[in-house]
Amino acid sequence: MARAEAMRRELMAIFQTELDEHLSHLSQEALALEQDGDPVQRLERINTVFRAAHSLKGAARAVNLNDISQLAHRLEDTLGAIRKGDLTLRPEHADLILAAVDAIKAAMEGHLNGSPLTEAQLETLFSAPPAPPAAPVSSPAVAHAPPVAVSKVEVPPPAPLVSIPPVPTEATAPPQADEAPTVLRQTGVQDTVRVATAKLDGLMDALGELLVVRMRTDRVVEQAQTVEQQMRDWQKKWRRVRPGYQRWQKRGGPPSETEWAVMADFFARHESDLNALHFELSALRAQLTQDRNHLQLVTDDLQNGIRSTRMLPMTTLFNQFPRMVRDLARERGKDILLQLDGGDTEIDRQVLELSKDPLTHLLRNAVDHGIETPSQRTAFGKPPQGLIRLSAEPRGNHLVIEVADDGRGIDLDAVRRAALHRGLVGVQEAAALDEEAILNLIFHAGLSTAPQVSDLSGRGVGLDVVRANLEQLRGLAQIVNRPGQGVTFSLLLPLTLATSQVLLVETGGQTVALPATNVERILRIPAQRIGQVDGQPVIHVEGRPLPLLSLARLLRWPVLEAPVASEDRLPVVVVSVLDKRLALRVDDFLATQEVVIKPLGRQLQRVRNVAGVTLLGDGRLIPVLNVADLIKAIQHEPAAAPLLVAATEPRRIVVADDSITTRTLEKNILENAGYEVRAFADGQEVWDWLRRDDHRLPDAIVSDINMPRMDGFALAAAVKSDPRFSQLPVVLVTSLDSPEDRLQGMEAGADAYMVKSLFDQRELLAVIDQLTG
Amino acid sequence: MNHAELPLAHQAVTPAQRILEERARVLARLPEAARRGQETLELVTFHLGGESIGLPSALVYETQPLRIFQWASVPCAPPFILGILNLRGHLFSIMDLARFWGLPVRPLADQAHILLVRGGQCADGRPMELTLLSDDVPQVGEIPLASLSPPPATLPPQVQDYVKGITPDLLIVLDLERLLSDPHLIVHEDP
Repeated sequence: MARAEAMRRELMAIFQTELDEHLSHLSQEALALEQDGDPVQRLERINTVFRAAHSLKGAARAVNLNDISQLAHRLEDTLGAIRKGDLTLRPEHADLILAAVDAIKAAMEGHLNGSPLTEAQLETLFSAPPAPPAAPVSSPAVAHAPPVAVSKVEVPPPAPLVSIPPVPTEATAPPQADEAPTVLRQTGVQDTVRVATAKLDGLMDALGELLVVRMRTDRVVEQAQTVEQQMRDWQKKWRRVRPGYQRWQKRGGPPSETEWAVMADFFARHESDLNALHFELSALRAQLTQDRNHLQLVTDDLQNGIRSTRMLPMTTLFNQFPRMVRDLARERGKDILLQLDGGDTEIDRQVLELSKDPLTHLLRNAVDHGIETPSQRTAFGKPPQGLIRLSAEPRGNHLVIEVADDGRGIDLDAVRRAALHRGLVGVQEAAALDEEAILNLIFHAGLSTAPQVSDLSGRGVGLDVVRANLEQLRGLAQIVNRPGQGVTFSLLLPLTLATSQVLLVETGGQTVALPATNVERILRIPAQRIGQVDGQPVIHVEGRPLPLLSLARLLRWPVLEAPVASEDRLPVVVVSVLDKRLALRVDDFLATQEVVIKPLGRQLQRVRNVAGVTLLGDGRLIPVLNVADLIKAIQHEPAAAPLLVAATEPRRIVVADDSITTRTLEKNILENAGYEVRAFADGQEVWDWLRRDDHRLPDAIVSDINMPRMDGFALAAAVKSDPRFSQLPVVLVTSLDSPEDRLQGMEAGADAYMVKSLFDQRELLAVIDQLTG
Repeated sequence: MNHAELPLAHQAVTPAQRILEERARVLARLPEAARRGQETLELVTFHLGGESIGLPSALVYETQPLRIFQWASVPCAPPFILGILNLRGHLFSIMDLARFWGLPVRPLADQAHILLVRGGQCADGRPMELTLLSDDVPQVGEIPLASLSPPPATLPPQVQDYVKGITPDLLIVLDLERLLSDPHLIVHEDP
């Protein structure tokens, strides 16, 4: 039973792939049929559609999906009538084919959801027009009325069909461009992938090479064993000679005759032994070098081969759009031609999937708000048919996808007003916005692109979705606005997510990676060029101030970058996401590298500031940072991560512990984190020093509890009861954790209480940071 | 209680041969409970912040010493995530249950091991998989099901939620399925 079920599932999966292909083919042909006026070509297309319907019928029958098989059969019948000349081919027949496509999709959806459609439902969706055998060419019923079946707009689908993806919304429904994802919910990209046999053969070849190398390692191991054996033989010989040698050494004077004979024999063989060893080692090295070179080639081949199996042509995605644009344009009473270019460009499956929503949005926007109605266009002196061009073009390691329309363009003032209205910018700020800044605003959540139609009622089209997906893809967007002439959105996407370029930097003693797409530049800035704005360190890049932050601090690493002396040149990385820029102080730049970025496992679905992790060649795991998060982090808490530079005075911590080891340890930890530390041996010393007024007050006290003269509790109590110091945070550290101690500590006024056994650098630093921050 | 008779990790300094023989002897013997015809529960046991923990061995797929991995800490992850490790090309988080339960922080033990566990259900329907930190070398043992008693009220409530039962010698047996299905385990932080 289980086997049969597994078999059925596998068959269904295969059928689904086939079905998608046929349906996509059918849609394309139907749309072409609508555009194409040439009768010969049209007939050719009808034949193609007929064949597709026929194959589909057979395939559906094979997996026992009779409703689909029947639908295909009806379509085939109708087309057959047209082929035979019983029915005249009319543009409306495109609708017929599309209705059949929708019906078949709905039926398949029904099967997948476990609730197959009833006969009546199918009938409503698609029934072939009667093909009257005697119907003459000019039968008015056929010529003037749309075919019976094409009632998909007028007849609301029955309840269970509401979720059928491609059925256009009712004509009366308010146009809502932000519903796009539900309309085309099926991704069209399957979990399975079809791979050209040639690609697989290439992989098999590479695998064969790997097996060769593996077999050779057997020989290498043998060679190594030989070398080892030779060494052992040599040791054995030496062991025989050694006692005599040692005796002679102890005694001094010339060796006896027998002693000499043995030693002379050993030395005589020594040379040939070493030569043999050297010979074997050279051979071993040569073999290993060869294998390494070989492995490099093979793994490169394998990597490229596997990468290419993840690639799909852009048409996989593009093909879904003509139908969408056509239906939407009809609903809006517009006449639009969607031109597709560069569909054969190959792109990583994942990038393809993630670029689907952004493109859907951009296209719907172009139809909804960009292209004018035919009458408006005529009034503007444009051809009545609007043009949307969707193109893909590889550029280096990236792919540029453009959505260009020849509509009215974006009304900058309207966007400015909308942003002001929504409170995204202030009045003065709004007035100062340049074109670029305004265009970037339309990627904001909640800001309607309705200004394109100068209609501020605004439906809040989610261009922020475009941005969100782009972020995920580490891509970029650019807008070129030609008022009255149209808009071009360009999306710059990586060709593959399989590998990406990162910049490795050292920060707080750890290595982290920054995606190269987010790295604008790397600089070494002289410390005296660091300025301050509102108490925040800034640097000036191209005349514009950028906030300068410590990356280690942003990441909450336990150790921060070394404090800066005025003569230092600081390594700084300028990172950006779209228009947002930020300067990050790091300890050092290490390298740029092509890496594979992996997710953090099932438990860590999303960790703030971390996009993933990558595995370096030496096996080290390195976190890859999410620059968008870092930039957001400083927007939310601007003072959260001040930089430790000479300009800002370091915080001063007093440490008290009677053990010199603990004292030194704490001092080191705190100093490494950028604090200035003064250490004392007991509470009395601290208390005496504190009351002198020849120094500025520390920012916190970290004290042991058990100390001679004055213990931690007494110190805390003294500090807290003196109004001059009562604001000073006191952290008590002890090796004994008892609830009584804790209580006593809190009663003495300590701000934090830490147990030494849980003495963890991070813990201490986190507490200090919290208390002094 | 055979579990208590198993060789302990810190005795590993004795010659390997002796340990292996001892293990063979223990393994060859029928568990006491089974001999008495009782229903038994096979467990992987380990220590964690001074507590003895038992997990149903069916959900423990692998244990390895932590030191053989080049693991990395993850910035901005919650404290109960020690880091992440690479196990033959797959990445798993390392979770410290002691920190998850808010037990006192302790230094990382030299003998620290990880246990790859898989079970429960994530939001997407797939089982959760992660590695749990153990302070010592995990052992395999068996206990009679009947010896489990309900957790005492003295156990902190956040621990109690996941306890299947507790044995007379204070081995805390966890309901791992339940633990792994807990959404609190999942780190999903919005920026």
